[in-house]
Amino acid sequence: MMSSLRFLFCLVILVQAMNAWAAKKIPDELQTTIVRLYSEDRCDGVRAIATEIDLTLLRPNVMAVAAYCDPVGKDPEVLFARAEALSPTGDLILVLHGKWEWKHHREKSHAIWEKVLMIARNDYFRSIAKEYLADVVTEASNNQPMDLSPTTEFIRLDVNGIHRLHPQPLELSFLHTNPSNGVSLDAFFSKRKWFPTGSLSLRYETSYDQFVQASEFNQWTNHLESAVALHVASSKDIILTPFIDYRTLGGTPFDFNYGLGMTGAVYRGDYVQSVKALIYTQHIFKSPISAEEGAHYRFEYAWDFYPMLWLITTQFAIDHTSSDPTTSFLGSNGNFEHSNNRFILNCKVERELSRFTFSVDPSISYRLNTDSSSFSRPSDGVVVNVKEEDIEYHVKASVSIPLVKSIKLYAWYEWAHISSNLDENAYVDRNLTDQTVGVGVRTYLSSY
Amino acid sequence: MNQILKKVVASYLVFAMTIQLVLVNGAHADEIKNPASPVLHEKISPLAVGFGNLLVPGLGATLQDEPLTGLTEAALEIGSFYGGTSMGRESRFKIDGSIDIPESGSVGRAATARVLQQFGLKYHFYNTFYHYQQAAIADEESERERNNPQPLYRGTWKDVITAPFQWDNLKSNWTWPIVLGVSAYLIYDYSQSSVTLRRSGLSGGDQTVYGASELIAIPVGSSFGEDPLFRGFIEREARGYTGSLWLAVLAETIPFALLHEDHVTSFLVGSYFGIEADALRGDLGPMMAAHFWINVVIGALDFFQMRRAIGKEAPLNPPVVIQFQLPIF
Repeated sequence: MMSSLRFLFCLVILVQAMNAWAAKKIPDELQTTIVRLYSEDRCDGVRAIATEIDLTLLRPNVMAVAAYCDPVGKDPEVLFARAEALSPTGDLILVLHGKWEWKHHREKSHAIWEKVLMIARNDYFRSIAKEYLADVVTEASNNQPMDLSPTTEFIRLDVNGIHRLHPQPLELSFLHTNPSNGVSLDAFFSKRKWFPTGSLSLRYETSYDQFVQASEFNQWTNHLESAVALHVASSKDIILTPFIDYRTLGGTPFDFNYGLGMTGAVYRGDYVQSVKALIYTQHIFKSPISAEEGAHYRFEYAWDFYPMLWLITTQFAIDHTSSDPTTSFLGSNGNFEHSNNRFILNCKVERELSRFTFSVDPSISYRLNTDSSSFSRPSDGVVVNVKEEDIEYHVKASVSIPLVKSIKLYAWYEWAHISSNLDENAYVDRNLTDQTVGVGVRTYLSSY
Repeated sequence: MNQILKKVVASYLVFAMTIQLVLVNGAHADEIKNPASPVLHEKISPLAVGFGNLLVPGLGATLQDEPLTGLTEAALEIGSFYGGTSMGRESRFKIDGSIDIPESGSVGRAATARVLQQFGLKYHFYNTFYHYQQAAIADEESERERNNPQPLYRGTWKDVITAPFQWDNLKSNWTWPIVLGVSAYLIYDYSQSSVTLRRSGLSGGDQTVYGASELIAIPVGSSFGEDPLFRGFIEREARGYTGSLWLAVLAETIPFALLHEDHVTSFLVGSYFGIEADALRGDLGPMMAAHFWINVVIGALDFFQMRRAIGKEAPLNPPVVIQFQLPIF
């Protein structure tokens, strides 16, 4: 009797264990322990746990952590492949896979870092992917465990020396200016908290351009945004972004923008597509062009392709500005229309070479006012009707050379040209050709 | 008895264990061998698809893995709407566009701009509903979809475009009484109101484009775009989330009224259509018919008013007022 009861008891225990296994669940505490041990650089502890459990039942991120630690008797490649199949746009999984591959089969890791560049949703992962591709990573830094806490910070700092032919903002292209040398400081800070369903982040970007020979055009720009990203599917995000911009020129306020952006991003097998709508109000402080302030309705459609060692991005945008007409503008009297539609095409082609990255960013923008302005022609005083049409061309070529981990040398040349039908026969001449050269150092820090 | 009980319990446990191992882990093995295609054809919340597309033209198709469709839609919607802004002076954004018909001079360009804007906006409204509808159909097995008190309108674009001419829709008690009642009131109001004589006449081309805008573009836009968006998507989603008919009707009718020129009348009409959508179990056909024909009557009266204002014959002949503008010193 006793033996049959013991048999029944053992059977129940066995069934419960089988049920737990069949339910494909590993307790959260155990998964948290694996992550903690990895973060404390104790892969031996992870390996000890790994011998006791079925690693394929872990959450995909934790499975990748376990795989990174080379569990005894398990093939990490199989585990990484399974984690990637379960979470196809999990950037942390790919980074861990890339680090593991770099340690064991360095050549094979390149394909993984290219994939990180394509799908990473955070700036730091993209930065380190470029370092691995540029081969400036040391064994010690590769072996250092990453901080896997759900809150991450990222800081980027640029210090550049520049020389610019016309230092004014292009909106003020009609002003006569002289070439100037200058210093440009850029900083970017982001703090993000990750959730299983997305992330919440705060981003601040600022730049200060100080010109030696044209201090009236010293420009300080600020951009602050808070982004709420929701994973509506494993490979699709919707991101809501309220933002404000503030800019000063020559030490006095120039403009202030505030609005809301909404982006949908789809991470497909070989490219990323995003569509974005921005609705914002631009307030231009006391300035010759303050009549051009108004409401902006902007729609952007972008595709990013990542063939091996290349990055090709394209973006098409349409920006409608709704402004009130005025009866005087830039010192002239008449009827001036300021509402306009702007069509913008941006591209970027970047090539990873063995020791540096080369990129070319051409863009073209066409502005057409919605109605004609009428004014007296300065040369003969005849009243004319002109519908403003501007075409802006920009080309930027840059080279970035990773020096050591987290520090790059960065040099660029930029050419910009505005071709406008507002010429010497109009109330202002908007035509301008500008050139800038710069060289600097870019560095970044992260909590990872 | 005891032995039998033990055997029964043991047999059940072994059976249950076997079933679990075979069924659950069989499926698990399949999942490992055939991991789903990493990014394609994932189900997405209909709410995300609908609101995403409403705010970002093209996003609905993009989220449903049809990026080229999304791009085409966005190009047509944004291109025709902002193309319209280049043909006339802009004013406040309304549900029929942002271009007003000028009170003097030619109206041809402004009326063409309105037709373009009407097309862009209402095509966008319809596409928003369409992508929402497709996402909801893909998700129809979900608890949220099954429990939504307002059934999904499953009409195709052909059903939507022909709804005003379907006899079943016209003879509905939700259609003919309101069309007749509102038309009678509008015609009476028109016959009693005065028309201000325009200083300049209008060319035949101007009159044709204006007539096309008022009699075709606006009525088609209202039934093709507005009803699927406001009643088929916004009301239905609000109903699904709140369970309350009144909150759902408010959710659709407040933006509907704010985007129209006459807020009060639009609020009443929007509420009527909202209640109708519930009473007809999500069938939008009769309301599309009513919406279309009421707007045809409004358009016809606007067109007659324009003809009277340029001194031409028009039915019902309301009184004409000649306005003089004195210079202000």
